[in-house]
Amino acid sequence: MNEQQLDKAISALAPDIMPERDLWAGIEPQLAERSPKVKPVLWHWATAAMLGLACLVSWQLALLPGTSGSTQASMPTAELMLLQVYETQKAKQLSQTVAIAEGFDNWQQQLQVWDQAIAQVRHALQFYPDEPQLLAQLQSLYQQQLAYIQRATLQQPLAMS
Amino acid sequence: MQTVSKTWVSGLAAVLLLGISQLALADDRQSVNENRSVSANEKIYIEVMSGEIKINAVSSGKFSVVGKLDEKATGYTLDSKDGFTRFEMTMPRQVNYNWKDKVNAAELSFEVPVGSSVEFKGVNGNVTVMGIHGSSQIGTVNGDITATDLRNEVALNTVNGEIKLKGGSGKVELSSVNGKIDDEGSSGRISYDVVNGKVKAKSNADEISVSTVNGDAELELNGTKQLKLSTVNGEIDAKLRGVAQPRVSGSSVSGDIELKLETNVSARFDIKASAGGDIDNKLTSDKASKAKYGPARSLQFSTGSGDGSVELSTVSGDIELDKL
Repeated sequence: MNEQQLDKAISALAPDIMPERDLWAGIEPQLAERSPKVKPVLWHWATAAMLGLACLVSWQLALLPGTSGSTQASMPTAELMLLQVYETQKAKQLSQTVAIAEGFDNWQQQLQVWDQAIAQVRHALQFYPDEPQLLAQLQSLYQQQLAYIQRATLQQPLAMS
Repeated sequence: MQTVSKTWVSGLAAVLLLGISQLALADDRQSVNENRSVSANEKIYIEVMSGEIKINAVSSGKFSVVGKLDEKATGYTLDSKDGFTRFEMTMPRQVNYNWKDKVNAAELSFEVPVGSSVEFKGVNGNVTVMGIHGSSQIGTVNGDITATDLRNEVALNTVNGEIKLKGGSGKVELSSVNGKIDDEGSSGRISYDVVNGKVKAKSNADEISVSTVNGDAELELNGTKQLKLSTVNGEIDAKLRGVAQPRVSGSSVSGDIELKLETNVSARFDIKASAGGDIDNKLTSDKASKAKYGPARSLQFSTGSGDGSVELSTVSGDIELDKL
């Protein structure tokens, strides 16, 4: 029986069919018996895990430039991955900065321009999560910003371990 | 008696003034006059931290430098052997510049073979380059680059200066952070890259790539088959003549893109505005439609047999298509 045949068979049924006997009387005692089976210890663990996860996500989002917090709980994975990769790289580059290159006096203002643009693209991603064009644009903005930091700052050489 | 003493006083004053003016005009700069025979495809590296620099290509196989060093320079080094020539104006470790320093900055004119590969590095000062057909890599921070007839591989970049190029060809990369790029008559594969600067181009290049952050771009292109546009907040205005089947791609965040094409253009169009942007199509009667979910608008249509492609997207900027 295909979907159309099934729809046809359902529509052929009478809309008001009364059960032959009162079924609720048999169902109610069974529901009452099940409820004590849940172990209270698991609830404690689940609550603790939820709180931990919420703290972790809040901490991550607080570090990232971006949009209002209310919708960030549903942040898609691809966007989060991009943000984590590039924000880590950016923080690393900035932490290694020892001086500003000649001619780049307004470099911090310039970085804000990219931060604002990144926030705009992330705003659009809230409507269209995982949209390839927007993700590519987000990546391109981060790459531009990192290239600018590279050019505008003098970095201390990495210590050899 | 009084007349004689007055004459003496006037004469003495004149001599003193002359002496003072001579001291003020004294030019302590070291002169340079060097000449070397080099190969036709010599690799030449020039580093002059400040000053007015001219680099001209000549048909003979020689490298020469004539002029004066910066008054603060400690000297210069010139090495030339095995196809490599290197000139460097040496400076003290710590140098502070101000406008007055420009008076006694370096003034150097170089001559290099037409087929040579030249790399120049500077910080403060303007550079004029002409006729190099090997490769040119010219970089400065606070200065303008004026270039004519550079071929093959060309890379010109400044931070705060302006770049003017006439008749560049081959693989050409022009980049300025805050300065303006002005290109006229270039051909080959060109890329313009600015952060806050503007781009003004009249080009015949086959492939063009434009990237701005806040800067605007005004492009008058002829015969360009492949065009890539990218801006964050800037406005890009591109007129594309002489191509019926172009391949254009572009994106903006909040910047606007206006593209004017030939009336006989044959291409598939895919235009999208993700969040608040607007699409204005004056090329055909097709209108953008609003997405079923979310604030996006999009427009897809074809003209002619749809041989070329035009793909443009924005987040919150405007995209306009029009006829030339």
